[in-house]
Amino acid sequence: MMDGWSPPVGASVRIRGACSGGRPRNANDLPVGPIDLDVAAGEFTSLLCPRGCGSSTLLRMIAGLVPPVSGTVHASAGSAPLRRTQIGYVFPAPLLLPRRTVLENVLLEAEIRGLRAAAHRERARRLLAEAGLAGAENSLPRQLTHADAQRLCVCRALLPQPELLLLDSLFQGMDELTLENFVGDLQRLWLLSPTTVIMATGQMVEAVVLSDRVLVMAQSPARIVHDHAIPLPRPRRPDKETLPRVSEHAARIRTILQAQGVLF
Amino acid sequence: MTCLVGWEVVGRALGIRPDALPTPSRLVLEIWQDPVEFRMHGTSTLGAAAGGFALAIATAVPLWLWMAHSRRALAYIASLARGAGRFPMALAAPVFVLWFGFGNRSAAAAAWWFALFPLLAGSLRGVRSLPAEMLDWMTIAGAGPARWLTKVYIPATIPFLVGQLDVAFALALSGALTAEFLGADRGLGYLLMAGVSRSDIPLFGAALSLAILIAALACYLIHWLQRIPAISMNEPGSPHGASPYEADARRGTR
Repeated sequence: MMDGWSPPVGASVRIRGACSGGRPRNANDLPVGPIDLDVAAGEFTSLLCPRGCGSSTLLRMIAGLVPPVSGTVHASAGSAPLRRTQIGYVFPAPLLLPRRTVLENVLLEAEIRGLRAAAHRERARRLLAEAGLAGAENSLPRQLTHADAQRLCVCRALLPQPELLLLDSLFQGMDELTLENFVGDLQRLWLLSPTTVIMATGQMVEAVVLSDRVLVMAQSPARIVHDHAIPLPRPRRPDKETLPRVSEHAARIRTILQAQGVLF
Repeated sequence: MTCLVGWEVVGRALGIRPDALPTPSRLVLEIWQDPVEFRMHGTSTLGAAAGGFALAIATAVPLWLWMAHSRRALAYIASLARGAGRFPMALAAPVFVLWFGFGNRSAAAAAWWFALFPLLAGSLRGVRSLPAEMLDWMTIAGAGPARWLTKVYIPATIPFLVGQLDVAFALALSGALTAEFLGADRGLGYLLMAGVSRSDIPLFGAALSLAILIAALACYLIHWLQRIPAISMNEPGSPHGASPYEADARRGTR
């Protein structure tokens, strides 16, 4: 497609009546479901709900980290079922090794997958450049801001060309200005390295800007209460044409959140 | 050095009897007069301490690696370190003397016991510094135990272990001294005991000074090891030692 990158097809996800709430693997896992969800290949989907609602647990369920107590979670890439190693996952806190440089931290993803780091060096450099970290390749994690550390983590997750990218609350602790740049970089990375994305977030405007669909969730147990499509052209820029339409979608989502009692 | 000179000057000026509070020159003289004797006792203690120290490392490293794979191991070792580690260590020394008799072996065993706990505490701190999501990430990436160990666990936690080596050696030395003090036929602890029972303060002081000198030299060597960037607690480019993930915590609040 662009610059000769070979775009992966992207996985499709199909969830039917999935519940969790059994023995949690992580103390933070919350009761979820029943969830019915279809995500098409190559789609950017957001799970919108405040923190502590259970969207992260749903992501962990899609990744196979939390087994569903009932129902099914099925993901497939093309005609084959999705293997877990075809998933890229970005966690709320950047998991960086402090003694590795930025580039080495990106290549760590290849190393822990048993791939040759040297073969991925070029792609890692390109991803970092697209994320605006071109000059920081040899910096150490402690020299990065939180947003740059998260940019690094997105690049790292994209390195092995995952069929499914799961983004877990990665905007946490970013201010509005940082967020706007971050969202722009994230959209660019995704357009250049297209794949299916499911993102858990509590940021309404950012979810609208990035997503093809925003799934509004309510809590205890975590469930999807509304499926809101965002048919805006891409790339979406925070300009005079796009911003009013984004606010329009955000306003409609706000009404739903109010009706569901998530917003008062 | 200034302290030593000051001590010498004040001791002489006030005319304190060297038998009561020996000046540094008196202590040096004490060793100088019988170098063979002091060397024999010194090497005996150093050997016991170094042997116990090496044993402690040989014990702590497998436990540290075991904790990489098992939450249960972490719980066991944490409770061991909490329980046994708070038991007054000096009281354990007589047990080793009873078990291993009067000699080098009981001193080495006590040194092992004393040195083990700082190493365990260091590895525990290291393991706890790793976010739980690391394991989720490894699961998703399909990384087996070997890649988890070599790529993430060891590089991320070894500084915590290495950072405790100096403390562990100092404690190994005091463990050896304690065991020798309680019952031995040689070693600096034996000389300390002899000095006390004969009220020979210069002898006591000389033995103690030699022990402190050994500890200081060993710590100097270990500090040199601890400055190797890959295993140093000091993050590269950081002015002081911070735990690797404290930096992330700070950034998170921005």
